[in-house]
Amino acid sequence: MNEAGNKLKVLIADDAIFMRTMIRDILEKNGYEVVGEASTGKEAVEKYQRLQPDLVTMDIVMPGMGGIEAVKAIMKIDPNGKILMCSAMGQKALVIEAIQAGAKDFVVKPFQPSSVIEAITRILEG
Amino acid sequence: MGYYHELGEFERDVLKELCSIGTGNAATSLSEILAQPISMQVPSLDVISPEEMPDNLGGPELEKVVVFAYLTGKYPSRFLILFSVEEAKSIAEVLIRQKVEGLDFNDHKQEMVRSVLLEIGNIIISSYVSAIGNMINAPMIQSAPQIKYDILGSIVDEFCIESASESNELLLLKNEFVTAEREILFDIIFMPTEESFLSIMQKLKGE
Repeated sequence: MNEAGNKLKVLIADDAIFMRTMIRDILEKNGYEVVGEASTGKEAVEKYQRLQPDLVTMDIVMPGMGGIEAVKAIMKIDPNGKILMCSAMGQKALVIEAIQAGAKDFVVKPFQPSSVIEAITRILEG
Repeated sequence: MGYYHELGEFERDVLKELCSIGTGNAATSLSEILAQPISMQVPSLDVISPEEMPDNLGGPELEKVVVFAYLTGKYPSRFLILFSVEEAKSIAEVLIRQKVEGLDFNDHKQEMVRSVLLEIGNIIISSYVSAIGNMINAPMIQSAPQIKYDILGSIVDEFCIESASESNELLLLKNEFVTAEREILFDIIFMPTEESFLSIMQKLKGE
């Protein structure tokens, strides 16, 4: 909840519908409102502008514009943007690049619901 | 005879260790995503030519679900993970909690099934990529994965033969995982370019 008592809004960016569904399920069960889903980096940037979420979960590897480029584009629009990267194992170099570009934290797939919620709480309270 | 056959005993052991670590990573990841404890058998490792692959896995007409990704950067390679149709359906059923009657990735109603299998394949491939990256202490860059449901003969033509000029050998890893309820069988194919393979081996040996 934010200070006004409303649910915090999250945008999910992942090219896999299965991962989007799984993340949505975790978020909704923990009191967040999923305001949108994106399957490419480009769509994530467009929806970020339109939906103004409190946080974005961002897959790293997506077709077309990937997650790192999308982080860079979102940080240009909103330097205070809060982005959680969702990476597969073995993407350490890409995770570092994303953090340098402005992402606040990361979780490694496959993730436990608790690790996603802990990371989101850290970002939103930090 | 290709470059693998020129490796010494020590180098083959190092390679087997690399495969075991990758398989261990894959078992951990699958266990988390399926929310079930998984134990693993030691994977069997063979080196074969792309032409030998179909017969090695059940014949060119046998249908398989394949997830494919490649590594770019300093160590260009291809990764394929192959599931039998029954295995693929059964994994999808656990994750989407619905019966899967047949497989048809062109049917939009099966978008979730396709997505589950693509993601499982991606996570398993990443487990091996991570093992290589950690062992040689180098960043590995993996492409977005692709998925296909086809007969083995076509899978080889599409994903293996086109790189015949780069490599005439592939490493075939047969895996067997065991949960409380069942076995999960899948095959991994790793096709580094010759240069890439030799660079990885040099790094593994600390040269």
